[in-house]
Amino acid sequence: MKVAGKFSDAELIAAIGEKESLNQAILFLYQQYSQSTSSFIINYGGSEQDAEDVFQETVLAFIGIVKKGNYRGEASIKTFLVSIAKNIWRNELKKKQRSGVREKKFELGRDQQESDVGSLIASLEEKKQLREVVGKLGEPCRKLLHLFYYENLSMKEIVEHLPYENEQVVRNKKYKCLQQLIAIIKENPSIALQLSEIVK
Amino acid sequence: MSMNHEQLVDQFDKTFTDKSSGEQAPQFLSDAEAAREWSYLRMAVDGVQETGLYEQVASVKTQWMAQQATAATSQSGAVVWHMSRIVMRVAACILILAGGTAVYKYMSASANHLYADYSQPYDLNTSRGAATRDEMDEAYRNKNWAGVTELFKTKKDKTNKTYFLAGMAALESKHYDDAIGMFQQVIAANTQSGSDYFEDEAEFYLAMSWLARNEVKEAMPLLDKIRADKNHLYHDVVVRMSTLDLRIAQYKELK
Repeated sequence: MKVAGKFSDAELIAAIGEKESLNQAILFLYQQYSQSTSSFIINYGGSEQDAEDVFQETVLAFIGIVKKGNYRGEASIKTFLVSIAKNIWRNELKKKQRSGVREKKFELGRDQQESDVGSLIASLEEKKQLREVVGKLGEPCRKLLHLFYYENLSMKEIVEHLPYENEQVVRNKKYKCLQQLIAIIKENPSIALQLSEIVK
Repeated sequence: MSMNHEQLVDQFDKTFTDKSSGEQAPQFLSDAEAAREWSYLRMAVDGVQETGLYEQVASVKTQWMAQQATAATSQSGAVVWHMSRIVMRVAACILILAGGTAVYKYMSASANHLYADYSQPYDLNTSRGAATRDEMDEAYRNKNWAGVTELFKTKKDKTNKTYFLAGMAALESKHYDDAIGMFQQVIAANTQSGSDYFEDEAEFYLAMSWLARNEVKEAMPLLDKIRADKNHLYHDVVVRMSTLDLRIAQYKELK
């Protein structure tokens, strides 16, 4: 994966929707847009590490928006990404309780595009917490659930990837892992309450 | 309609594979408890998918950063050529002052030395796949490299594991081009499928194969990537590698 293909905005949206081309699309996003977004974050008081983290969250949010069919193409991808990054950074600043001056600057510069994007990325914090919950699972369970629910592999294909004897063993193990994950979610009632919005 | 939890999960998986993904609890779940469990299932799977996407983005980001680092190294190499003669003289003086140790370091640092120092046999016993022992595994454990290669050729269902073992056999037999091809196949298959089966192993031994072939330039992006990834199986090994030796070997290669 040395050089990502050149994508137009429309081609990039299509590539994000396809499992086979998603890696290329992500690489293209990094090659084309990370610089401009990072400059913006650094200009508003972020460190290089902040810029890196914000851009990663921006890419995640953008892919989520595209996959849900919520990117309508009214703004260019570059403008849209910067709007997402601004929203994420604004929220980050609020969390860190940094100087009110910078926040005011943001408020003054906030346009309609950013407000629209703000509503689209409202559940980002909840998603982050959800990832933390999954992180509490053991590696074998995480791997198994990942292959089934993210890679969409069949039980037969999973037998090829993991050291389980047959499909029935995989099926049983997957059921137990899912139970384990749900138990962890239930152990965190506040997370379950917050995240119930996602499944609505 | 009442169903036990296992049946509920089966039903959920069916709607999941039908791509309807259970956005809402289906109508037949009149039972409030079942509907609640359905929501928890949906939440759990959302979490798995969210984590999967996060890891995929993080993985591409790491590769992109490794590319950036390599590009920066090449640029700094180009800058060296444009350094003024005075700066070059100062650099030469510093080199001379560094004395015999530095000279020895320079003379001894090479891709071959790095390969000899840091490559390690791959022990199948400590790896995954113990439940699927077969002839190829046995040949590998017995260090029958020719046997591994022959069995690979006749193997009908080739997997990342068989490609990897064939690559290791080629590497052990000093057939570096063949080894490189096999390891690249594993990485390409994973890029295609979005999986990471034998990915870490293939990346490390691909880098070792490039070093064995005296191609430091090809090995560097892989080594940078492994060094940047604390969860990589071979992170600790690569961190122990002398960056100075690598740079010297790379410089020698560019000369």
